[in-house]
Amino acid sequence: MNRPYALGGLQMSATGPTPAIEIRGLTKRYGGHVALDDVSLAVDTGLFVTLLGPSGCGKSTLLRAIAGFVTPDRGSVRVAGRDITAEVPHRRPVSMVFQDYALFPHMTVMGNVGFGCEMQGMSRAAVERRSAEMLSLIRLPDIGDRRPDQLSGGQRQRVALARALAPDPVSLLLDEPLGALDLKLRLEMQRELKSIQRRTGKTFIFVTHDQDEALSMSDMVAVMRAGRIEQLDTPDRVYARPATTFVAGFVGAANMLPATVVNSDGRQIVIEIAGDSWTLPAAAATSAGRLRPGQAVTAVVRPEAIRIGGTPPPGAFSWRASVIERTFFGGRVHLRLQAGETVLVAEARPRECAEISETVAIHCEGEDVAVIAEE
Amino acid sequence: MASILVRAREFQPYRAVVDGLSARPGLRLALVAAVPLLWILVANVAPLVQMVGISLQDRYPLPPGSEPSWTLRHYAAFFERPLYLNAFLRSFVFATLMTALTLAVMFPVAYYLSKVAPPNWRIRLLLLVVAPFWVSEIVRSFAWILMLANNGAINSFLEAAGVLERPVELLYNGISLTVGVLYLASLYMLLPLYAAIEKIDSRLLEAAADLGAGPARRFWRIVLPLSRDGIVAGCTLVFLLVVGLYAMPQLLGGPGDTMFAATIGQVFGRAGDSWPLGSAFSIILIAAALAYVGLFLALFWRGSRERSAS
Amino acid sequence: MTRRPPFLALWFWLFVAYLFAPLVVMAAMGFRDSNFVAFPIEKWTTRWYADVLTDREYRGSLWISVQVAVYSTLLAMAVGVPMAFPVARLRGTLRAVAVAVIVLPAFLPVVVSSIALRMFLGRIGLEPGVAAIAFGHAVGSVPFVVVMMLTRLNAMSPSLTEAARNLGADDLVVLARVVLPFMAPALFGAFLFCILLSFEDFMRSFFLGGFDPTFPVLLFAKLRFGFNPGLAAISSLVLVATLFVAFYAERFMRRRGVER
Repeated sequence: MNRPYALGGLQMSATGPTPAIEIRGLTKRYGGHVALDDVSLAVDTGLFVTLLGPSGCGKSTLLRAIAGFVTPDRGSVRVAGRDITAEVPHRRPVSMVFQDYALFPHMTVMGNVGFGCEMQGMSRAAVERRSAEMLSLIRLPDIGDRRPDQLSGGQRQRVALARALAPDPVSLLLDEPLGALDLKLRLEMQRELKSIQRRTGKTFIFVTHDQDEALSMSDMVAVMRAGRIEQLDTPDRVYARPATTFVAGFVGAANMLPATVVNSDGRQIVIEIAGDSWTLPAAAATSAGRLRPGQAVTAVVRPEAIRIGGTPPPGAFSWRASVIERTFFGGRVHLRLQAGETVLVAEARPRECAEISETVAIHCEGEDVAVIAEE
Repeated sequence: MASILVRAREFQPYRAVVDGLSARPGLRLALVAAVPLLWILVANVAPLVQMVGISLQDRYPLPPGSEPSWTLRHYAAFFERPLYLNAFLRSFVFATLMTALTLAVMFPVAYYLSKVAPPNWRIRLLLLVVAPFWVSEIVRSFAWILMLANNGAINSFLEAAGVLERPVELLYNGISLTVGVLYLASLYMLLPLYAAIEKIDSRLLEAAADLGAGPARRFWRIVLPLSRDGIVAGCTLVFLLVVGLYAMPQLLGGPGDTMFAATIGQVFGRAGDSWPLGSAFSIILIAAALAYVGLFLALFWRGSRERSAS
Repeated sequence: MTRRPPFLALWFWLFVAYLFAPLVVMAAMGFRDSNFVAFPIEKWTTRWYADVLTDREYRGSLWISVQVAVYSTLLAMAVGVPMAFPVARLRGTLRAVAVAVIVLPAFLPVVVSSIALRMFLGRIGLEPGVAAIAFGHAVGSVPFVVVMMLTRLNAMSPSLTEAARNLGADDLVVLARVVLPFMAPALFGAFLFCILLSFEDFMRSFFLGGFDPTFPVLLFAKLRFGFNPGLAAISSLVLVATLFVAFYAERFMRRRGVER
């Protein structure tokens, strides 16, 4: 399972000679627990990269290793080409936004935002100018004199962001910064964060366990599990072409159908599922290696790729299935379908949907299937 | 201040030291922990160790030119004179009784403060009750002398009211001592009890009442078991306080109320080879008090474990 | 709702009366126009209150008490505050053991620890007097300082210091700009607490003192040779001053959200 992500960032580092952040072979153990297992990653300047994974997968450890709060056992961290693996935290050109914001409660907003510049030895006037600039960037120009406990959750979040941006770091490290906000504010802050990232052109490394957040905000998503990066890819590819069954299951809902490879050449893949043979485009395969005939694979079909009723286009696969469960969500309906031995999950618009215990014809197109080969 | 520190970072040796320490958390921790460890050794451990040493020496301070000789005779002296043993037993019995009395008096007070008093008044009332404890033991003893003397406030009030014809002896006996020591000890019982009772969820009492438990049963089956930690902490604190009382028994007690702490003080005040004797008595007091409390805690925890197991 | 037995309220207010009656009686006695302490008070005067304020002996002892309080508090803070930081980093059993070692001396009978300290200080050449008393009071106050600091440190999110370091502050700057300001209310509270502890202490001052007594020691000596209303007057003045500081400390701590 040691995939060559190493410079899976290759596609990312293609635009510039020096990546903003470059991590090689980073390993960290706590007793018997492996928090980071030979992680490599390169992130280009100006990208929004999300580290996504369940709790304990090592995403926060990775972020803290970049910030210098975790000393790795092996491997190196480079920021803008400089090796900072052994550098103390306060001399690293990266800024962190903490989950609890960590605003200094005894300082004003201005004092908080200016702290980093002050530490760089800037003059008082320059610090104030820079802080004011940051406050207008977060569209809160008038709150400079307030104290953190006089701010709302969303305001604190923005001030934390302004404070991190003020010393002009190479990269911003965000550790689940939206976790403490309620859903509505969270969506608003997602847009705001993305817009600030675009305007400043900074490299953002964003940690979250929320897949929607990851998919909607990022240029690239690194899905992590057990101290490793399982897949590093664009959000749409992570969703449509998951590299592993873990990624398929963690990002979005998925029907995972056990299958066997019948034939695979450069143009197409033929697999067999429950006695039926399916022909898929070669791009359906998500792993780099070539598929061998007879190899066991998993075919991933997203719930919304399963269509209820209607005429299947040529090349699509059809089944008959009966509806065993139906859950209404307003704009869409979730269905559980029994097709032979298999239970499938489908998502449909209410109008196109079947009633419970009804038997319906369903189909899905070859383009919507991903084939995962795992040892 | 901070700007000086920021400037200082341009100075290479400063950088080397400060950054060097951040890079070596172990060394930094050792430096930070050095002062506290040294303090504990000098201020707490060394005096006690020295005291144990002195208690085992025949004479101390040594006359010039003589060698120290080791002996247990000062410990033996404790058992030889009934004067000492009686004072010791009196201290322990008195402290035990006072602990029980303080618990009985303070439990309703703590319960009222934490559960019955209007919530927005609780802290204010607590502060009111805590206030007198900032005053010196001696001042408080004097205040009670003024209350309890033959021509003191209580006697003259009762005489003026026609209840008494002649003053009642209230001072310099068990009454004044009990009243005064309760005054000293009550806070040490109140605070742990308050903390424990406050944590009890009032809905438990409502649920119990709902299930048909009367006030007495609610108290025995719910309030008392759930405030156990507070009771144990309070009793431990009060016992240790009372068993070592020195000044108040001398000011408020009668001639027959000499406590062991005062005995120790007197021994030290005497001329001659009294330091080793006083040290031996001190060690006996500490060891006995800690053993007594330890026994109480052990019995208590075993009891509570059996009860929760059943 | 469970019923509220009136017995409890009655008991509570009786207890409050028990606490305050002697203090009120003492303050009143200071106004008695007589050379003897006795009730009832038939003639009132303020001369005792005026007299004791100019009395050389009382003023001397109060001055000793103030000196001792300030020195011992500074020493206790200088030791107790740094002591709390390494303890705050410990977790689990190790932390419990460290706290126990620091707090245990506060549970030993004060007679014993005072005498032990006196013998020890004599051995290292510190004669009885202001310095010895101040050292003794500091020994007694350090556990309280450490506990108060730990309470405040526990409320400090570890990300606060990390944020400061991340923004370019080294250890000393983190201490000066983030940690100590965050601790400020607890530092001030502990300061006043130590002053009060030292000011009311009798036992350590008695055993560690030389010829110049602190106020409680002077009072103890006087009480054994009979009293006059002047004693009540000076005690009441000290009482009022102490309560004033105590209430101020409490209010300050509560307003800054620091638990005792």
